[in-house]
Amino acid sequence: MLKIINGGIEVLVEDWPGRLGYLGMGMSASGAFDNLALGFANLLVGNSPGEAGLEITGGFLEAQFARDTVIAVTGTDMKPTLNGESLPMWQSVAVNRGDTVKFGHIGEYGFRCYLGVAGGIDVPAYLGSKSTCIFGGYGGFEGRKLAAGDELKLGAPRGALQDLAGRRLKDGVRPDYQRQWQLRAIPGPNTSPDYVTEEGMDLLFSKSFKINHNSNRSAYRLDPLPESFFARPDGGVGGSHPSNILDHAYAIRGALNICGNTPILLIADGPTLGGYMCALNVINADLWKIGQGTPGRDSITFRMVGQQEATEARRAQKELLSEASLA
Amino acid sequence: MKGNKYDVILDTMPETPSRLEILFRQAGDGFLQVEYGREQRAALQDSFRILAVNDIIRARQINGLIETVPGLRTNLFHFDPQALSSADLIAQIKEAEDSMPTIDDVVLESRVIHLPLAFEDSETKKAVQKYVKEVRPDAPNVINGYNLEYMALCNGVTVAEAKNMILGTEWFNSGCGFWPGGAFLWPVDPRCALVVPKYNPPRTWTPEGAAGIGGPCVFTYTTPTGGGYQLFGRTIPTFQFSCKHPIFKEGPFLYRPADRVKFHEVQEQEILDIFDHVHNKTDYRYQIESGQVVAKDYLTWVHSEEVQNGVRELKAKQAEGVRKAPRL
Amino acid sequence: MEKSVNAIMPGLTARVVVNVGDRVEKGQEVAVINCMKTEIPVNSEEAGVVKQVLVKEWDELQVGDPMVILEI
Repeated sequence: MLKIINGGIEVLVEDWPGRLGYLGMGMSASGAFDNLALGFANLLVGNSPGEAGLEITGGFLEAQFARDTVIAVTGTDMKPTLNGESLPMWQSVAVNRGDTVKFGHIGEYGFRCYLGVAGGIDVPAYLGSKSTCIFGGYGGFEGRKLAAGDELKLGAPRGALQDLAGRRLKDGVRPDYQRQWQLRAIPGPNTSPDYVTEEGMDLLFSKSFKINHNSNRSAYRLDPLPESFFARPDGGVGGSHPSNILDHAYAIRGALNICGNTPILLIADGPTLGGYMCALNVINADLWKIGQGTPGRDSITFRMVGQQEATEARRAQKELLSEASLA
Repeated sequence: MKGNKYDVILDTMPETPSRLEILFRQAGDGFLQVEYGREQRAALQDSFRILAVNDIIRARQINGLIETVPGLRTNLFHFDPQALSSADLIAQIKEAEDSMPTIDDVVLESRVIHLPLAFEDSETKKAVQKYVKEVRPDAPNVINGYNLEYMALCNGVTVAEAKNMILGTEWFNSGCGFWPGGAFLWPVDPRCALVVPKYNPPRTWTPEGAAGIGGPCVFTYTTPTGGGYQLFGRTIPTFQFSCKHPIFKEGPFLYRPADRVKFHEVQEQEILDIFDHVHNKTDYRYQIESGQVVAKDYLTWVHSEEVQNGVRELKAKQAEGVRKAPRL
Repeated sequence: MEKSVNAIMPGLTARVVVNVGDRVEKGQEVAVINCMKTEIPVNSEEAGVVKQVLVKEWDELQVGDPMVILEI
């Protein structure tokens, strides 16, 4: 069991790939915002990469273990401590019953950190996933962020604890965190010539967009676009603004929705359907970078790629999240 | 258009007498949007076809196809490109399309769900009051503490006529979305097609069961949430997170794509009683009939002189209403 | 001795809830930051008296930016 002493800013139970298959019922997939960091944390403690862990956004979690286990912390460096001593990240560490982990504020790079525990966080799966949809208030631990006094059950470790502790990643495997995140993206479904001017698309694939402070697990808001972005004077039957369209499904996770003049990345808990056009889609293998993009500080650029590179990147990421990455 | 590096139309199917041109649009490395026609058109027969084709494709259980998300004039396909290429997926969709070449072939399984509705109930009234108090004190869409009079005003009809329009047609679900379990409900009878602007700015709270309309679509709120539709009353639960009631044993959702909803008026107490029988006693019997939508019959009926005359009359009233109603 | 109460998250200053001269206890909320469409309270880690307020509503913040100076 893991007892929460301080729930910090936003700590959620998340797994990967999340709650797939319910977009058509109005439920987004949710899931770890940085699936790569969660995957490594799981791998280090002997779990399958998609097992449920804790996603710590903003920092300040404090929690106590009620049993001996093995943990790993990945993601942004929140200067975690174990019983007041510095806790090394990106490796698995044995903890004893009664030990306390504590996290500070976000690091120089990245926004979210992940706590993986041997056996995973044991919450009941809802519609096939343990992920929390904070926006809808379901899944995870009682459909909400964690708070002081919560007691989380832990799953059964997949091996002897002494074998799971002290595991590290190979050199060069750990992802590189920056303040300028380049996201590979595929244009569509609404591009030039019918919805966006060619200059508009050029701008999208060259401009650096600052991440707005209001960004959260549903939507990452970016700097506004100029009027010259749009190829149409209005949205026709869809509405008066040229970003309007008759309601269509949003390709989440990863769609760049153009809402008025504001580009918005629709991600984990985003809306499944709506009346605004979507100009590009971040490839699946780069979704994790959005989760490390810090609102009010970091920026995003988009680089256009084709299906082949995107599919290859999925394969490479799957390979990265395997035992072969352990030292 | 060739040579445009942002061209995302991977393939097309030509227009036929019973179908618009089909565009296959790239929408990411795991998404394909199938769009019907190049123009933004809101026509139920497009939705009938999309949903009928959707049923055929889903029945095939294509390896690598994760899910489909049908909308009024588009269908979004979510797939795993490591298991299924977009070219193979497009080929499968084309086959399904070709299997129903004429309008006679477009027949859709469509249930009718009968939902009791209390107009201007006290819970929904609270949501409107809260909006006036906390969000927009001068909201012109709130008249006598409710939105129904504004809805009537926008359409150039009386409140009684607006109520009869809501009760007088079946409402067709072109696909679920926006909010868990939510359905986008369109009037089957175009003579009942109220059109209203959405709240500006939106509400912060709406009770579960509230029924509202935004643009031409009716929505019944599945859980308490914010929202932007003009509220006219409250119906019974159409969603249940806990899945306790037997109708929700397969999942928390009541609505399926292609369902039709028919409202009938009741007193508020009946709604409150049914809430108790759905969520607590879990013994309420939903009134649901199985049925079909035959696209050809719908088109014949909708194009009949009687219906078209009614539509013209309504449009004239609406033009007048739009002039008179305050903008939001 | 002076001690600053710093921003714990990036975002915008929603408000400062203390005034110069106010007595502040350890753990007391002194300001609120707006981030992720959520209001995040900033609590003082020390007891003291507010000497200076350095930020106002809508000021942009990064983690560690001083918001209020206390005399402790």
